Amino acid sequence: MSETGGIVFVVDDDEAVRDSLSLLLESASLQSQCFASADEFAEHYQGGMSGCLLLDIRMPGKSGLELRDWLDQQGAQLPIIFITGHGDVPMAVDAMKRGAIDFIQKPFSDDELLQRVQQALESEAGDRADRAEADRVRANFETLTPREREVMQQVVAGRVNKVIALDMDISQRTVEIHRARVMHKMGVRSVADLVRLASFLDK
Amino acid sequence: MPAPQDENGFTILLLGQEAVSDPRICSALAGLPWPLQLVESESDLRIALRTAPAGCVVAHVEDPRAGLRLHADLRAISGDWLLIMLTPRTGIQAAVSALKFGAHDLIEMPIVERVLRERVASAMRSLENPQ
Repeated sequence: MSETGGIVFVVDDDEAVRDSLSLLLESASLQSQCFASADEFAEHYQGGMSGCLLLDIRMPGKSGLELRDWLDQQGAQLPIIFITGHGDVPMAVDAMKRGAIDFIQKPFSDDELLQRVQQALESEAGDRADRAEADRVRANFETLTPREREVMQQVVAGRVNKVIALDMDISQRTVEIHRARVMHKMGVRSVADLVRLASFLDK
Repeated sequence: MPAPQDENGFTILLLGQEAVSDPRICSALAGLPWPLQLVESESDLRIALRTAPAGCVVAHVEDPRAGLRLHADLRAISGDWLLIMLTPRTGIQAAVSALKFGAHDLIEMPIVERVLRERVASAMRSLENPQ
């Protein structure tokens, strides 16, 4: 498995292409799974899969672009690299505008393909880490009382305790207590960290 | 001259001497419900960008990779401008690079008026109704 922990899912109707891609990925210590059609991959698909998709555009049955649209409807987060032997500029532009992370023409060089796959895996791993962080922040935020949330909002807005106390019509000491609880529950030590975490709540 | 704007401030800027002197391109864009300003040079573009807050820059570029510098300039001025490249010569990898590095769209020349109109309208609507 790659350092990013993701699997490269290869979807291509050409068995020779699947075999050569599988060997190439294995040679780079990347784990792969191959599928002969978009429908076969769709049956295998489960939410939360991590890695990237190497997807042929033109296949019998559901096309690569149709599979992309289907995955989008499922809320899939897998980055997609389209591969095609018969591409043109409008097709490449359409694929990229529909959310592909890359588009490669056959025949491709091994190095080029591996480089782009690594980029896709790293990008997906980064996105996955961001989502996990956002989930953690939201879970911590849920533990705050309404009063603590109000104080957090004011702290994040850059207000000092004195101003917050006046605004909320409470004592400065009470603000300090709420503020300390907010910092503890959110797992941060500085206002700068709190501001950074608050940005996840807007996403 | 300040860029004309619609009620939301969105404007289409058509950039490049070859584009502004092409009657088919001009008539396709003039039929859209957003103000169109013709801008011959990149220095004129910088002036136009200062007066209009957001919209699409439809730019004629010889090579999409060269258009990436224009995109970087746009990002430096404001993130609210989308770049649509019109290019007479391009390959798949150049087009993919342009889109990977931030161009909103790329259309090969010679343009089909209906296609240009639809793609620019779609870009403008995405600005008006961000998801």
